[in-house]
Amino acid sequence: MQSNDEYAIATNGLSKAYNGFIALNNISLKVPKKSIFAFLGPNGAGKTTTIKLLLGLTRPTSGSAVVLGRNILEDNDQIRQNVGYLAQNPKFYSNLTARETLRFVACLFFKGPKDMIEERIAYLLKVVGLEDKSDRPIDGFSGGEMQRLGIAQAQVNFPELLILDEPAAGLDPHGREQVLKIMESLRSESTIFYSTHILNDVQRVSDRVAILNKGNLIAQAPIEELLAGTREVAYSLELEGDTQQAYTRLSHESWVTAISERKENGRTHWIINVNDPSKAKKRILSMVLADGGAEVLDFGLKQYELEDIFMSLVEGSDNDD
Amino acid sequence: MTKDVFEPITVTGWRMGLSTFLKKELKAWFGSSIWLKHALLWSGVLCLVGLQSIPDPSPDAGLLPVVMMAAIFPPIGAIILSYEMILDEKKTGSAEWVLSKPVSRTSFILSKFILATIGYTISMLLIPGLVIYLISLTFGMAPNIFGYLMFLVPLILWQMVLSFLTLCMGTFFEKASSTMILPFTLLLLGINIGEDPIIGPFGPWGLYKISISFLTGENYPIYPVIVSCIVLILLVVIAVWRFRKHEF
Repeated sequence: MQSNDEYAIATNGLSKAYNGFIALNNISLKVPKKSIFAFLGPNGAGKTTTIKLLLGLTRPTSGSAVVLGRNILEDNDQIRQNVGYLAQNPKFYSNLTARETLRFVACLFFKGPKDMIEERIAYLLKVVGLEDKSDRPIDGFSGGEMQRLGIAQAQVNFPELLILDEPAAGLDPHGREQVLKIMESLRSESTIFYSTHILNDVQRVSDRVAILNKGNLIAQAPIEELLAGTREVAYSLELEGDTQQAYTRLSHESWVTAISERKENGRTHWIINVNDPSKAKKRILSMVLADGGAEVLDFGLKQYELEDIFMSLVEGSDNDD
Repeated sequence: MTKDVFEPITVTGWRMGLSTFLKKELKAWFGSSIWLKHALLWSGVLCLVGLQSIPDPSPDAGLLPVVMMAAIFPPIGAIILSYEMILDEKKTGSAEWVLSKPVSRTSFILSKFILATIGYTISMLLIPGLVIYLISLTFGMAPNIFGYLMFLVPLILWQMVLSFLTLCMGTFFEKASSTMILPFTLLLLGINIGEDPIIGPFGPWGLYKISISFLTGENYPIYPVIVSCIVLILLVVIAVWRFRKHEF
């Protein structure tokens, strides 16, 4: 078990209700230091509410949270000294240039030396690829440029914890790629806690994942653990021809727990969930091919992607309601 | 480069971020052409009236019509500028962004009130006031400079009451109409209430009458000035209290 000192964020029964609507229900989140932690959930799940609570932008209805060892209600000023935050749709002062925006932020943390502050600003503009646009008013910035400026301003103070709310949302593939690269490059410097609903990105850069649905935390684990999961082993088959008899034979086997079928372009796709993988491995093919009615085009162990796990957990949580 | 080479800000409590916010607000006003545009606009408006009324020797002319205009038109501009100051930052998300930094909500709000005091007063009343004085000099009708400055003070306070009220409403409401309805009501009714001999001297609505009394030599109670100062302080306190409770 990890102690609270090892967590950048530790919440305990954190809840938030707005006029009777429960936006967040009893969340106990543990974000280890120096991890890239993805906070997943469909729109309206409560991700942004959680982030706002951590930053003191809104107050919890009940529960508590500790960020970098400090209580969010009592020591929020100190928390914000050591945190960098990128909002979902970052909005800065449109009359300022990118450099002036970073200077404005830097002056909220540091009073000098001025040359070092300017050096830090120039470095961050370079990291996020905005050197050539640094002295233009941000009014004309594209969504991707604004997002990159957002990441730069979040890093001005060398934060121990970076909180990014949907950092890649609304970006084109190139913009997304750049944001992910920046996040990966910051791995050694900060803990990164980011919310997203883009699952491909999560699998690529994150160490740990928490899944939120309708204000409830429904899973929280290292990403490998979640992918290995507690789910049953499943095999996938792609077939052609008459599959009816093979389907009947398999469905009567005690080691087969479920068969899901999908037909596409004259081909049949099965996902066969089993509770005895060794029996399944030996017998599935022979049983399918027994009467010669079906031809097997593809056969293998089903590899679950994060998307499968996410959909299954979210749908399961919806059904529990 | 590491964090250790930087000198951290050591200010704590309600003053956190105040100097940076102030610099930002004053730069946005005086560092752009907006201060000059307003100075020219309101000088122009008051000149239109002043050029006709100042040389006129009749008792209802002179600087009297200028006072009436100064008590109505620049405050309209101040209300319109003030409603955006907090409301826009709440709507666009820039307030949420900046408050995620180590700053106090009090300093965020105070910087807006300070801009409304310094920036609006200079551009919308002091510069136009100077222009009107110069016109009076040209026509050989210039009042005593000390008396003239004293005559401007109630007008400045009146504009401050209306812009502070608008800023305060901006901390409560999310819509422009809700934010501006009370200040505009006070502006439109205030001039009439100020004429009332019973309640006129006991609220900010009596301020323009004090300005007029400097011109006419009448005696008018000083209470509107005292009440207005108290109202200004209360409006700041209420705005700070409300904004500290605001949830983003």
